[in-house]
Amino acid sequence: MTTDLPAPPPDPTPGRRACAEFGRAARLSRRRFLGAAASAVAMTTVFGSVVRETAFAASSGGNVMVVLSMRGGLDGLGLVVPHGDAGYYAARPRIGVPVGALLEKDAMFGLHPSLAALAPLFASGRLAAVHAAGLPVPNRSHFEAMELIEDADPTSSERRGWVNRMSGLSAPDHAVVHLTSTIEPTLVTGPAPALAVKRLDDVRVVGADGDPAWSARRLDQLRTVWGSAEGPLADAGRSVLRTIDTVGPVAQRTYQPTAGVTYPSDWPAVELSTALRDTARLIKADIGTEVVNIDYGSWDMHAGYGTTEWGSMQAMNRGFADALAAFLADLAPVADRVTVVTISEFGRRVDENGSGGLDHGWGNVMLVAGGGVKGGRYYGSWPGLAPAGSTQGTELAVTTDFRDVLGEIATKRLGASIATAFPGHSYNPLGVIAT
Amino acid sequence: MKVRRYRRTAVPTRAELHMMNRFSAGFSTATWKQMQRAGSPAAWFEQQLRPGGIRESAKAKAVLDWYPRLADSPERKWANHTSGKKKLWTYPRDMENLSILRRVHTRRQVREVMVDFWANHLHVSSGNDWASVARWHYEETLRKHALGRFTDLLAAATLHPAMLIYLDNYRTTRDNPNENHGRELLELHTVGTGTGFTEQMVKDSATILSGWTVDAQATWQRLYDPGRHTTGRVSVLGFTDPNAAADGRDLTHRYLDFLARHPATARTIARRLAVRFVDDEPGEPLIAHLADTYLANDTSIAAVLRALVQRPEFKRAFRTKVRTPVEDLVATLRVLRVAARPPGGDEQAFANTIGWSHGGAALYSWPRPDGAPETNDAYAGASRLMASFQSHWGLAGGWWPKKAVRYRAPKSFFPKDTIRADLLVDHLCRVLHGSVATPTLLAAALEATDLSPGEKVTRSGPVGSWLGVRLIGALLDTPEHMTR
Repeated sequence: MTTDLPAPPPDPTPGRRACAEFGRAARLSRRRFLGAAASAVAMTTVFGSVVRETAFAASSGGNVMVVLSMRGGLDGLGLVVPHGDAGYYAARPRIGVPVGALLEKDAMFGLHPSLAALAPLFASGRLAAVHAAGLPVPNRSHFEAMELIEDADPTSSERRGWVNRMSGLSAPDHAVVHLTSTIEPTLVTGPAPALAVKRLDDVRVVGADGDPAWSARRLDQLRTVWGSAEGPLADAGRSVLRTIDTVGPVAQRTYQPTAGVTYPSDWPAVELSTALRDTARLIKADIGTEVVNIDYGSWDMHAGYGTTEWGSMQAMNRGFADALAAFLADLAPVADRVTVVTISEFGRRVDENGSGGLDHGWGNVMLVAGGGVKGGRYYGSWPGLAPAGSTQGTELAVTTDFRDVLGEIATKRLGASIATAFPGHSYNPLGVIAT
Repeated sequence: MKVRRYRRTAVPTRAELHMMNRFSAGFSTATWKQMQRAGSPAAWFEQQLRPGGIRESAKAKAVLDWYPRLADSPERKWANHTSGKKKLWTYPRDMENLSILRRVHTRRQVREVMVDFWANHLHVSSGNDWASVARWHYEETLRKHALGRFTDLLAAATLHPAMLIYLDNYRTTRDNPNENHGRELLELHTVGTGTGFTEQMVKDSATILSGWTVDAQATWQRLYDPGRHTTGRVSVLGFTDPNAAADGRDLTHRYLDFLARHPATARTIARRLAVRFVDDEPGEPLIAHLADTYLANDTSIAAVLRALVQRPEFKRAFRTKVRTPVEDLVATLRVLRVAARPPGGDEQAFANTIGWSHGGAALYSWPRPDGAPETNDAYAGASRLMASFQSHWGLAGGWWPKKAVRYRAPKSFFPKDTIRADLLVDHLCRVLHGSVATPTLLAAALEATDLSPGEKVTRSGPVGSWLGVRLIGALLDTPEHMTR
């Protein structure tokens, strides 16, 4: 047989443009319709007809929460360094960051020098840090700790993430978007729909992005196959049918960041950078995306942590800071709508191990940046680090429950309720977000 | 819509298809013939549990030679890395491409399925470049023990240079053991957190492993360095030892054997096998039965698998598991009978690029030590489906990769020169899915191609070429093809 086969006729652009314009013109009514349709499907297949939930919002021009999930256990003490605590330098003779190198210092804390790109944001009050935050009870398993912070509902054994609970069953698929992989992390997992995609450009259906007549036949065929399908892929198939109408047009438009903004394209910034750029596209397209999660890391530095000159920590810090600074600059026209928060499953030990790294610990830092943030200061109650050599206290204790930080953004920025997002939690906000 | 049958194209029985879906890389005429010759799915499975007795296919043997650098010693790989001749991060890609081709062509299907299973359970991520010097030999080690005893597998994997590097044990120092490996050994590889092991037990687990290291940046062989072994009494879940000697090797082996035979490990293995091969939420009776079988048979993996395929839960679970993107690609290559040719040194050859075409995460690349998920939800999202659709059409159309490969044009899938459209659809379902057309599939196929059921189509017409790509693509973008 032959090796070379003729490809189908090339894609004429008119079809694509027509599709995009239709998407724009029909957006509001379609979203309402799709929301209702999604709700009906979920309720009949998952809950019968008893459960009724409302999305926390679904309108254009709304606020957006961007969660940066720092995977692997971020060393918060290496992001926001407690230079005022002698225990820090005693525990880290080789890898401690010298006080002279720190940025935006107060009496206790300062930013790692590789976060230089974020220093102006801190100085101008758009970036805040909450230290000694985390799980109320330590858990040093990556996988269990991630479940605990992302499921975040001790009142139920149902595996459902806090973002999923906030979103509600009637939200459109793209109200919640996970970027960097096609696998949903726990925080977005559950009965409410979400879109998990590695890159925004991946939202396209082969055979349906060219000639309009053939594209229509292709979509009819997919509707026939997946519209009434059963089995483990049925919901995903129906999600394709909806997503291609809503997010597809955004993915097909070329994107130009705000003038003067360049996203870093080198390792280790590039993955985060790409995901943040896609996030900016989604937000500016204003199709109703409300929460975006991005995975970044590994921060699991059991070895090779390094100093300010070399090693994993300074490299990851720099990648993170450069990408986030570019994103916030790119958002300029809509920056006030967008609040970014970082979270990690646990912090690392205070004391360095024999391999020049840090094993699993407990308390951590959370950074909050962007819209509504009362920045330029370090929040939280500092529990103090025990002196080196003590068998107790080789990890940072937690004085701020992570839900108090996430909860402020969820309630004040997105209008969610604490009871929905974090059931059973006694909410005690720090005032990081302006009301 | 009434479905007309094209009965001249035979299909496997449901039991045969189910066995192929779960314990091979998917339906193929070669595997189906192998099963028919064996006499039954059960007899085929029994043969497969002794892979040494199965004559390997010529193609499966040939593809091993297409990646000659994989078999280099770790020392050579390191030298080539430092000289820039071949970088360490290229080996996992070679391994992925080879694995894909091997899964397509091997006659020892169950063993390759189990190599993938163990590579996930005892995961060494390709994100760790140094571990990549030993990753090929690590996989060969998993293959050697894939159907043997778990206690042997656990010892071989735990103390393999690739694992010692990946989980940092090679860097551990005396009196300050690195806890990474000690923890994941308990949490992921054996007993699991349900046992309630304590932080002190994690430290003791790391203490037992301390001393095992790797001759890094030199021979990359495993070494035992008593100078790095932390001594002092250890106690983990009832395993206790004074640990007074500087040489902890014997202690390590006793500890690993203890863990392998722990009832909680039996349940970890039983559950993971059940999730992979039966259902995402396997019932307690199934897990208990498999765990009992494991303990009663000296941790024999083959014994557990034999018990699993006899269970009614297994037999009922037809097409209830989602194929991962890689599994989907391999199944597609099998039914489309795509024939890779030797790549020579061509970077763009099919055999060197096919791993890029499935749209999912690269094999071995899962970034955390828990291994890629085995559950449906991880592979059941909209964008994953769209990526697999792209892959299906690319292979059906022979669009990419184009070099050193033979694709079959749609016309070669015609059973005769002229045929009714609805009969062609039924024939294609039989060839692509291993099962007959349903009214839904027929309706969808006709929509995709703008054909009517009774319309005659010809091999030399558009359905034999570009329109046939849309037809085959439509039939691959279905639950029938994308589940197992």
